[in-house]
Amino acid sequence: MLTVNTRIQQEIAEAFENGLRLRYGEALGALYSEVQRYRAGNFLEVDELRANLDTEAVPVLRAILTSKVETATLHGIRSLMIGCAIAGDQNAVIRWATEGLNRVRQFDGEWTDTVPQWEAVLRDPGDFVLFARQLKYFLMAI
Amino acid sequence: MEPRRVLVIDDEATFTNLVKLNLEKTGRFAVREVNNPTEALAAAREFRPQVVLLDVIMPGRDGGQVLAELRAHEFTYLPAIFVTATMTQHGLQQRDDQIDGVPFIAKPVEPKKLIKRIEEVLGYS
Repeated sequence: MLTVNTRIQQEIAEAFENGLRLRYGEALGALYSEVQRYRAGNFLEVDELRANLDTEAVPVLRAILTSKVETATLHGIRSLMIGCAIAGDQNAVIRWATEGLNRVRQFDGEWTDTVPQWEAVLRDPGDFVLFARQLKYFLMAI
Repeated sequence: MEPRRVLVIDDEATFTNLVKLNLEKTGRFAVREVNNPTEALAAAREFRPQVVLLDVIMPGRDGGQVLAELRAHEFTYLPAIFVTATMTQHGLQQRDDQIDGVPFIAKPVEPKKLIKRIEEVLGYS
């Protein structure tokens, strides 16, 4: 059973996500919703963020090297792309988005639906970085 | 001493070129660049490398697949060092410059560190 506060917070979060989808279209809106959730409880200090990204990269690199790319790896790649955007590293965003797009095209099921998300990032990675950072800083400030 | 042969596989030509420049100017290494991972095996057969330096994430074929292909042929025991731009130098150092025992080096690569790493995997330092 949800507490009143938790329910209200959840409703606000859902409304926010719905708004992002309406404003930016389904593909980018879905991605921005993940930006919102990315390490939601942490203040994103740059050194700490870099250390987190290093830690998150290890299992992804391991999976790629051993050719064991699974759903968890794809989540990891998307998470790294978002984290790099928040860190302002556009080259890394392009790298992960390219890798993600190549990988999800080899998957069936729900991951196929995410193709437009990776494509949207690659169409304008600078815009994605800028908005991801603005969104995160806005959310940290409220 | 004859220069050690280093095969560098990365889709970024600027990176492979920089590595070649820095390693060859020491006079201790001969470097062959490969920018298309699908050409790695053919290049290796021609060049007979003593160590391979390869990027993890490349279009078409990742570094793991390329190394597996090399090792499935006549390069079973070819020492390898993976290069990655996805982790910081600091992050890798905290993990002893390796992941699961596989040597790694982060981009941007410092030439001195790279040479040291190559000499380590070649068994002399």
